[in-house]
Amino acid sequence: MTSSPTDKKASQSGLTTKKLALLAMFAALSLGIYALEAMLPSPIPIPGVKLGLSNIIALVVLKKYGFRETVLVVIVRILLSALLFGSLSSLIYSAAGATLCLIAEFITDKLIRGRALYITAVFGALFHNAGQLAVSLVLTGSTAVLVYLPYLAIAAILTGLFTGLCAHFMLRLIPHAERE
Amino acid sequence: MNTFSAKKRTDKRLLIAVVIILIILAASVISIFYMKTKNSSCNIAIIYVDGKKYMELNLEKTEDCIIEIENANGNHNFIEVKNHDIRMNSSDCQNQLCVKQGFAGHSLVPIVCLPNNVVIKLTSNSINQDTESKYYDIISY
Repeated sequence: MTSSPTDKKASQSGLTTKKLALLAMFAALSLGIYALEAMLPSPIPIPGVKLGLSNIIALVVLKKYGFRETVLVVIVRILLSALLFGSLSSLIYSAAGATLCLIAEFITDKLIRGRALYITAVFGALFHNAGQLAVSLVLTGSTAVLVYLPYLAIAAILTGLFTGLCAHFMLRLIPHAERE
Repeated sequence: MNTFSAKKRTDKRLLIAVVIILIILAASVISIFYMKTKNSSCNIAIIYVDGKKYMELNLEKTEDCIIEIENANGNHNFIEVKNHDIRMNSSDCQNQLCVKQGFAGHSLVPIVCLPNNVVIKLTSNSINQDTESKYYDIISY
């Protein structure tokens, strides 16, 4: 999970071809997971509750490469997903959610010094839902949507734990694949 | 020694993070229970379209009907009043969450169709009457 200092230095300097290809692969993977998830019917009649599986990829890229690379991957994912499956309103929702989610994950990861990835994921999910709720507050112009706040918070904690653990196990598998 | 203390400090931060998550979880559960228990008799339904008040219905006096609503983007929602209850009968939105929600039951849990920007909110006129009668009580005594 922890990369050596030289690895980190190499990953921070510039966009190499290998890195570009890998980041593009991660973006494609995240888009594919997003599409798959969109096909699943929502089990709970509360808007905004979903697993957020594409966040697994965002977490993996955040831990493996860094904040800037994650921003790139997430921007590509959001723009392409809005273009392929969504509308303008879904673009606003996912952009607001993903921005807050990324910032929260970055700060949490720094604060707990990259130790428990699932806690980072929980905070990311909480802020993702908070961002989406804020957008719906602005779009509908009524405070009625705030009723969903407790439901969304509980959902975020559960789904955040799940995606965080997924990312944790994915990170343990990835270094072996990359060394080939 | 140095690495040990650094590890311990991180553990403390982890603990704080876990405590914050638990507090949020507890607050959510408590507020959900609060919303479930505080069930008042709601018979006024207010329909908001595109954030503006569109229609106010007294459910006690409204007969069974279907109200068609068209929002600014040209999307349609059909709101049904049946046996003095109100629900989203059908909607052309993608997720259909507002339709799945069924009949509105609580003033704190409105029916919201986010894609089409339609909100059905229940209120009770008894709240207004209560405050009014209290007001007169204060004046008369």
